[in-house]
Amino acid sequence: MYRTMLKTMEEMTASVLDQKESPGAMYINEWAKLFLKAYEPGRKVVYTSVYAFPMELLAAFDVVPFDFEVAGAMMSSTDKGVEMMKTAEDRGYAMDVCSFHRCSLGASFSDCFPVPDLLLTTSYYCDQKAKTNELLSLFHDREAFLLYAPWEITKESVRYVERQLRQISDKLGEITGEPLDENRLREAVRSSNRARKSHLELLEMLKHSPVPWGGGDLIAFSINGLMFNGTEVKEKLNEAYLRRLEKNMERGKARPEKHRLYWFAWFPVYDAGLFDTLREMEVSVPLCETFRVFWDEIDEDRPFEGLALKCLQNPFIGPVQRRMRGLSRIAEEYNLDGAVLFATPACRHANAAHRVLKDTLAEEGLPFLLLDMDISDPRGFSREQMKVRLEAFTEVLDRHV
Amino acid sequence: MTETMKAKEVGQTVAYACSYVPEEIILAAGLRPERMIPEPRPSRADAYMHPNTCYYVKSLLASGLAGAEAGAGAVVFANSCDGMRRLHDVWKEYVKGVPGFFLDVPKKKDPDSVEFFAHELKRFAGELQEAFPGARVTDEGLQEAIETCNEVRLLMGEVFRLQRDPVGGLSGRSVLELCLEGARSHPAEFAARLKGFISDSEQEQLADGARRIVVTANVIHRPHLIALVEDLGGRVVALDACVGVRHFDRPVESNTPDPILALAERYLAKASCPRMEGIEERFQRLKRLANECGADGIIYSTVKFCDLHLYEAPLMRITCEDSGLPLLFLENDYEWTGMEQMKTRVEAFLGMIGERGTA
Repeated sequence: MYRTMLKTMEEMTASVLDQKESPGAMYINEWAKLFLKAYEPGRKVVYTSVYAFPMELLAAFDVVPFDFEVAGAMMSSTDKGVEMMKTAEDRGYAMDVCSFHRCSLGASFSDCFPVPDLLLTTSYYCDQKAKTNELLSLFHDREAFLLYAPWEITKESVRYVERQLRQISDKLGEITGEPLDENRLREAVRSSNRARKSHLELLEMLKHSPVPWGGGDLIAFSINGLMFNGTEVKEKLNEAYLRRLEKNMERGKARPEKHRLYWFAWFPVYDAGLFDTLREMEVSVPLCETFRVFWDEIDEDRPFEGLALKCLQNPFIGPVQRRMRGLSRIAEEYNLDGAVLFATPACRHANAAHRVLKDTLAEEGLPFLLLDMDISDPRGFSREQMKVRLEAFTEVLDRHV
Repeated sequence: MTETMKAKEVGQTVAYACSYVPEEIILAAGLRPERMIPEPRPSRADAYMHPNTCYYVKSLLASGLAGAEAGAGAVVFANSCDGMRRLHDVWKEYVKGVPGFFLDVPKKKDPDSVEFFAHELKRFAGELQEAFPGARVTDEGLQEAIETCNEVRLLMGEVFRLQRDPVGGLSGRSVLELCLEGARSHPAEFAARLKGFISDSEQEQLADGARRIVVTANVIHRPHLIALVEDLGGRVVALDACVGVRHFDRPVESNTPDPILALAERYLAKASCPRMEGIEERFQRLKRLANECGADGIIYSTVKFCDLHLYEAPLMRITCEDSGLPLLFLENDYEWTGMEQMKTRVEAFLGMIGERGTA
């Protein structure tokens, strides 16, 4: 199992690790180290949902976080993905089940993922993550805890989430044999707040035209980088990206751009050439919704309450209209010309209300593209179809300007 | 219907789309709860919701867009699933004239979740009072509504007992019809209707001997599947769906100092649909139900793109079959097209059960 994963990781990271000094290489290296740590004997492995769970809490314990969606995405970026999906399909999981989850289920059934000591997930973003989490909990016969994140931010909802986080903290204490060290949690929160500041600086730099970063690399980091929240690694990564972006801007190292797009949701993890195609068309993606800083600084004196609030401030929690908050200002600041919703078929929470996104953007004079493509299942993918859709959208953008 | 309740009724309807919405609060406000059972026309909502969205959810939206819910004073959506949550978002933007309320329902039933849900229910009661002039939700009104709904639950329990009766009984079709009638009726009127229905039905003594099938499902609002099973020589002995057994499961504790808390407890603890955590518990309950009904097999029916059912189906099939209960998984498009294909599958399933029985 370990050897298979090591080989997969090697294939995936080889090209990036060649660029030794780059923040991308540093990020992949850190990510690979963390990933492989989950396979080391004696490690306490906690499954989690990086995009919605406050990772700072995990950083306060000696546990290895493991997100089976992120790991499934990694597998799907290699030849192994489809094989794993087929394993799940052979067991009855239909093609309508999210391909990320088919891959994760298949990888678990094939003994490719580490055995968890505890499975944590959140009720958002999606029903499917919670469901897979429970299925894997039954498969591994380990306890699962669903963090229910209510729809609205109220005194009661913050208290409810805070209480659940305290319960989770107790469970983490049980599996590690060490109760929570409050000072360690405070330090994780302080680190997260420092990373938040550098994150805001990165966002400032992305306003620059031509943009010094963006596209698939930005989106991937915006999601997978959450794995390190509350740790020094996240701070270092942000700093490394800041230095690289500064250099890129000084050297004028950026690609020409005719149009700048806002990106909703995800991107294909297999080799679809999506962002290469956009680059050829001189279209850049300086901002994605998963890279926005939606949360306030966390109160280090009341870390549980602060983390509960951070969790509830996630724009994917609550009504779809929350995803549009501040977009008018952002469109102006980032000089955006349009937006794309990458719609992987099973992602109902992200796609179902696409019309609201489209019409709200139209009020701002921004064209919108609903790009239907699978996130990790390349079967059925057509590069030509994708290209035709992107070309047509670029024509709309040209006319619009 | 009591005099108090009659006096309270102001002829206004609050439509709701999920079995997790407590009718009692709507009733206590002097309003009429009515389950939304839309015409099946999912494709008419495709311009507003992604085509890969649940066909029931899209039919609800199509119904709203067509003005079919115009008679309702408001509609209530629960945080039942991703599709339903997004339906609320879209409804708010595009369906004019019928305000949509949103009820956040936790997916678990521990004491903290119950407490949070009780807050949500209080907020919901407050919203009804604001939206409907004259509506007042009092503890007394809630108590009366709880008793009315509990009576319906008790009577429906009797209907379900008759349905599974080995020597007499009710057809699955009749029971579905009754469930749908209940979904559209005032609970007090429905309770009166049920009393008559049960006393008439008890006189029936039908022969049995058919293969006994439990249908477990999300939304079943049309008789196609049940009719198919019964026309092919099977007998639907339980309808474990969100208009069926699950909806009428367990009473709300009455005469408590905090009726809202009692409602929160009951609604989170009732026989769950896959929106809740607890796959293992659901399996055990289904097995118990099948045993109580003397079932020969289970049909697991779901509307296309219901992720919650889709994820549980494979494990349900394995665990049921390991317990000696064959399970047939069937998807439908809420319009129930493609019935010939379904017929072939149901026929084969009943045949297989028959062979098992004689082996």
